[in-house]
Amino acid sequence: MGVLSVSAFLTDAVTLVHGPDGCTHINTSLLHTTLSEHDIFRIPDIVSSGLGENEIIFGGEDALHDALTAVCSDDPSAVIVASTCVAETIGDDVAGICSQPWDCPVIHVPSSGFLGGTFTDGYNSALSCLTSLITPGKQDLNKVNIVGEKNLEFEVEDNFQEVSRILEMLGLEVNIRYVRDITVSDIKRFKDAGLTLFREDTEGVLGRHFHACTGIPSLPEFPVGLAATLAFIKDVGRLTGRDSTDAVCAEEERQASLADEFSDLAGEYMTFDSFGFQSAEMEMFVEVAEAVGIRVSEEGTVIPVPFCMPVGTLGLQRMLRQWRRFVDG
Amino acid sequence: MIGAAAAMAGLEGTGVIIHGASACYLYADSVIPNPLNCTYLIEDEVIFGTGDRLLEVSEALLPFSERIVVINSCVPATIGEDLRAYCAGCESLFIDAPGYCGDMMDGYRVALAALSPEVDSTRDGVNIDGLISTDPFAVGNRMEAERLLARAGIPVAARYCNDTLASALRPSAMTVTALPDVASGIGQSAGSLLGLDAIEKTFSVLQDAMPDADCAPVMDICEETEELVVKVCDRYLRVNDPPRVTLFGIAGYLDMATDLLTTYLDAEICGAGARNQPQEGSVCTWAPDLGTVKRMISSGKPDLIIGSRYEATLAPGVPFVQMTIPIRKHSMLCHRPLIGTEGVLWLIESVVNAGIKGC
Repeated sequence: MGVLSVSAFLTDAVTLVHGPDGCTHINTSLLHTTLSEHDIFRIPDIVSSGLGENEIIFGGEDALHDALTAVCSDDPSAVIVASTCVAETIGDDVAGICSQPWDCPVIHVPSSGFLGGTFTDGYNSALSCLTSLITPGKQDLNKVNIVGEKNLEFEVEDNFQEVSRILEMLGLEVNIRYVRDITVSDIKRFKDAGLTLFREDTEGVLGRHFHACTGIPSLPEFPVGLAATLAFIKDVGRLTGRDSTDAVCAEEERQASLADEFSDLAGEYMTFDSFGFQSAEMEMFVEVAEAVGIRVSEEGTVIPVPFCMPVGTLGLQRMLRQWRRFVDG
Repeated sequence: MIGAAAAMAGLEGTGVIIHGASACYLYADSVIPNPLNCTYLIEDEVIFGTGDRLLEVSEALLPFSERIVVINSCVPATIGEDLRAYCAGCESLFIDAPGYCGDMMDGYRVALAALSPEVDSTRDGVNIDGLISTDPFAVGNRMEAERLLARAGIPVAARYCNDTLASALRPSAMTVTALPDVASGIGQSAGSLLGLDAIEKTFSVLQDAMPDADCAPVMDICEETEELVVKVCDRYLRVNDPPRVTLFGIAGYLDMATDLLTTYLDAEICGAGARNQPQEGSVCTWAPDLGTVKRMISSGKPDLIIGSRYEATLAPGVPFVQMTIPIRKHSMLCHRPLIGTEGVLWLIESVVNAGIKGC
C-alpha cells in the first residue's frame, strides 16, 4: 500500500502488483475508499499478475513476464512493479524480470507486503526507485521540488497551499510535486530546481538518497509549530541565496494575529491526549498554548492530538479552531 | 480468504481468526459486518514460526467462542505449519483459504465444506443458503426468503451463513438458495429465489415435498408482482427507447437482472461482466479486473450501468444502479433484497427511475 500511495499518483504510469488478484483488489479498494473520502473519484491504473496455486507451486516469474508484456503493449509511460508477501515468500526474481529489455521504463520497487517492511518503507522505496527517471537539468534557484507529500492525508492540498504561500513570500515557485498527480516526463525536470523540500523525512532516509542522485540541497520536513515555521523560512532563504528578513517579519505578524483571533481561549485550561501514533508530549502544543494564553493542566479540556501535524501558520490556525470547538463543545 | 471469513463470522458462536497480515484483515473487516480477529503476522513470525502468535490470539478469544476458526491467508498457507497445538487446547477448525486458490465465492464454499454440517432429518423446515455477508443485499435476502417461506407456512431451519453455529451444524433436509453462486450444497436443493420463474419453480418443488405447506399465497404474490412490473415497464416504454444496459456484479444476480430487463423492458444487454467465475449456462463473461470493465463499458456504450461505484466512476454521467460493492459515497442502510418478489420490484423500480431528472 505504501508503494501504491506513490505510484498511483504518477498519472500516466501503470502499477503492476505481482501477486494474487486478491492482493490487487484489496489494495485498490482501500486506495479507492481513501481517495473517495478526499473527493477524488478517479481509479488509478493498477493491474495484477494474477498468481494462482500453480504459480505458487511452480514459480510466478512467467506470470509476471506475461503480465508485463500485456501491460507494455498498451504503451504506458512507465510500469512500476510491486511484489507481494507470497511472491517474496516463494522467491520469484522480480528484479531480474523487470531488468530485461522492455518497450517502456519498468521500475521494480522492492516491497513485499508485511515481509520486511511497513507502509513507510514501501512509500520511501517507491520515491527512491522513481529517481531512476530523473534526467540531467540546470539548477534554477528560483524553483523548489516538493517530495513525498502524503497522498492519503486528508489535508494534503491544504498543506501544499501553505508551503506554496511561504515559498511565494520568498519569490520561489514549485518545480514539481514528486509524486502527486504528475507524469513521467515531469519527473525528468526534477534537476531544474535549486532546493528540495521533503514532506517528512526526519531520519534522512530520503534525503541521503536524493542528495546522492541529484546533488540538490534539501530541508527534511514541512514546518510544524510557530518557531519552526520561522526557522523554515530562514532556511529556505539561506539555501536559495536570498534575504528572508521581510518574509520572516510578515510571518511573525501573521502569527501574532493568532493570539488576537483566539483571545477567547486565553485563560482556558487544556490537556493533550495522545491519539494513534502521535505523542502528546510534543513541545509544539505547549508553544502554541502559551502563545495564545492557554494554560496546560491535567484538569483542563482534553484535546486529542491530531493524527497529522498542522503545517505552517495556517495549519496552527485550523488546529486552534478545533481546540475552540472542543472547549465550546 | 474473505469468503471463508464471511461464512464463518456469520455464524454466532465462532471465534474467527484471520491468520495473516494486518492488510488482509483490514480489508476483510471493512466488508464483513461480523467480528473478526487477526494474528497480525510480521516477518519474524514467518521465519521463526507463527504458532505463538496464534496461541496468544486463541487464548484471548476462547472464553467468548464455542469454536475457534483459523483462516489461513496466503503466506501461512504456503509455509504450511502444523498449528493444531497452538489453539489454546481446543479443537479448532482450520481452513486453508489463500487468495491464490480462488475468489470470494470459492472461499465461502471451502469454509462451509470444512464445517461439514450433517443433515438432521428430524428438524422441520427449510434451510436458506447463499447468504454471504459481503453482499449488501444479504440481510434483505434473508428477510425476503423468510417472508416468502412464512407465507407458505414453512418454518426456517438453518441459514447459511447468518445463524448460530449450533443451528448451522444441524440443517434440515431441504434447502432454498438465495444466491446460487455461493450455494453450499447442504441439504437437498429446492431451487433458488432469484427471479419470478425461479420462485414459482422452487415453491412448486417445496409444495410437492411438504404436503403441509400451502404455497398458493406465494404464487399469488408472484402473479401480482408480474402485473406491477408489466404495468410500470409498459409505461416506461411508451415514452422511452429500451435501455442499452451493461451490468457488473455477482453472476447469479446478473443472470436474473438480464432476464428481467430483456423480458419486461426489451433491454439490449451490451455486456454482463461477472466478478466471479460464471456458472455454466450463465449469460455473463468473467470480468475480474478494471481493464476488462473499462473495455466492456467503452465498447458497449450503454445508457444504463448496473454495478458498483467503480463502474459509476469509469462512466460518469451514465445513469447508474448500485447492485454490488464497493458502494462508497452513497449509504445503504435499509435491508433491500435482490431475491424474491421484492427483489424483482426493487430492481425494476431502480432501473426505470435511474435516468429520471427533476421531481
